[in-house]
Amino acid sequence: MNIFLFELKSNLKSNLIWILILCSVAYFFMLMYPAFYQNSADLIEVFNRYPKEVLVAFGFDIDQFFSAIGFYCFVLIYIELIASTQAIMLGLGTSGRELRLRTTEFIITKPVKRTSILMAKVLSILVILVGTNILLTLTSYLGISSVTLAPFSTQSFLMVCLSTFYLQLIFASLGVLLGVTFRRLRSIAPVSLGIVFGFFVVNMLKAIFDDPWIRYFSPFQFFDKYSIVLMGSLELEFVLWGIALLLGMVVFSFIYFDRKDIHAV
Amino acid sequence: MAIIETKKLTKYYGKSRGIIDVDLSIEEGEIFGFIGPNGAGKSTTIRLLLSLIKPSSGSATIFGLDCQKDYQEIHKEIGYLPSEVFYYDNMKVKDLLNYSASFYNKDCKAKIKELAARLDVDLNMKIDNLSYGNKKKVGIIQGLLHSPKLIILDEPTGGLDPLMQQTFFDILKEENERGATVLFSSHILSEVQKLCDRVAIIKEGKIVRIDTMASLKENTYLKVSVDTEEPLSESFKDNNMINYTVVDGNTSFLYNGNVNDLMHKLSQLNLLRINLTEPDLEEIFMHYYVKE
Repeated sequence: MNIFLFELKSNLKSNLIWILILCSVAYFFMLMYPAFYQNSADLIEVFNRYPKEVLVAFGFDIDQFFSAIGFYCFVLIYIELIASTQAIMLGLGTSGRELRLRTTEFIITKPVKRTSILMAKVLSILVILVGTNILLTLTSYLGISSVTLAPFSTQSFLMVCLSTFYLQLIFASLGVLLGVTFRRLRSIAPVSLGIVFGFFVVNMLKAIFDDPWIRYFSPFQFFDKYSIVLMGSLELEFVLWGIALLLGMVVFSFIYFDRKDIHAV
Repeated sequence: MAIIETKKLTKYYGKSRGIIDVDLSIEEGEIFGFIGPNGAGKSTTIRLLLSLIKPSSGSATIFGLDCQKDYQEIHKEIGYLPSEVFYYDNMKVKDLLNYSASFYNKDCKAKIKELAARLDVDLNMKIDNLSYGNKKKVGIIQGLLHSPKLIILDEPTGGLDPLMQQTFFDILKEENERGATVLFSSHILSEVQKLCDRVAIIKEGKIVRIDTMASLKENTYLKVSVDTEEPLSESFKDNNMINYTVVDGNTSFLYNGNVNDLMHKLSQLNLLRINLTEPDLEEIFMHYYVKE
């Protein structure tokens, strides 16, 4: 319990800032929707001049784009970029805290099992991510409702939000895995940003080459937002693939951390 | 009952040696010194005892419990002070100590206050702003605040000024009188000489000698230094003399044979000056230290 609270406290301030950024982006981007909507005819004209691949690469779908929820899906590309950066930094920062600060000996020589240490850390990450997603979902709902009178499917909206949560879980557990397996960790931001942008590039490649296999390696592509809006549900195949990845990374982290030799610094 | 017991404890880091077949048995209430040069395997042994690393073979028990399996139970009664202390950033000393205390089911407040007063540590300081020596003092409090039954110290005195070092040793002695067993690792022999009842000497991963401090010293080693008109010849040297050195008219050596024989031999010489002293450990151990 003490480790859980300690981690929660250590992570609180930076994550409140992340939440503030995420919610601001979601809300204020939605405020631009009426302007887009009013100029839709001109914009369709403009968009049609681009090659289709370019539009796809940047997440544009002209048909969906002009509904409020469709516009939100477009905004989500930026939200997800921020959200996944937050998640991996949180995961890496929390599981690698002792590694970075060289306090591993401090925590390991306490009367607590190694697996309990990691469990407390993982739970504290989970609490922060759940909190982040509740606030982000509420703000986004307010944002969408404030700019459109047209009815939209709450289920579709929630499913879209769930896919963001899913993405965060995957990046957070990747962060945990790295924090546990690294031998050395100087600073968190460069590693985290490198990985997120790496996957973002993979995501763009998928859009350009349209090879279905790339999707499995690109968390940003697990769930196609526009098809969620149309279907009102997440693709089962990728829900399962995501769960397999999550479990794999988390279970491996626990086993590895339990057996790891803690070397002198 | 032995508090610490290791049997054929061995650790390899890949192919490079950590320690080989270390057998130690440390009794309750002892202050046990662990001496050896850098890289001899002192820290490796301690890290194995603390389950920070896993042994390649052999076993170690503390309080009769297995160091690898029952570490959670063992750690309740262990206080550890490493040679270099690191802490979480952005914390006050008291926050850190309270966090450390929160792992034990004990009220440690009084002990923290008492130790902080004795070591002259300001509990309201930010840890980031502390000097090396002051961080070390926080480490001492952190290691002792739960009144552990076993105190493990890995080259702990670096950064402490001589006065603080004395206070620290006094505290350790008091903890020992309270019933705590102490394992004190060091490469500084005089520290060990001041504090310990028994010592193990480790060299290149192997224990070369375990003995009581008293018998190490009383082994009738005598430090002999004589000045003569003519430099003494090699023929004066016998099997009871080690570290035999001749510099011009001065000859010095350590002697561990029968004193009467020595006196008889010396009486044959025309002596200008003679000096017989008890050697310090440094001189006795020097030949353990030198690589063969």
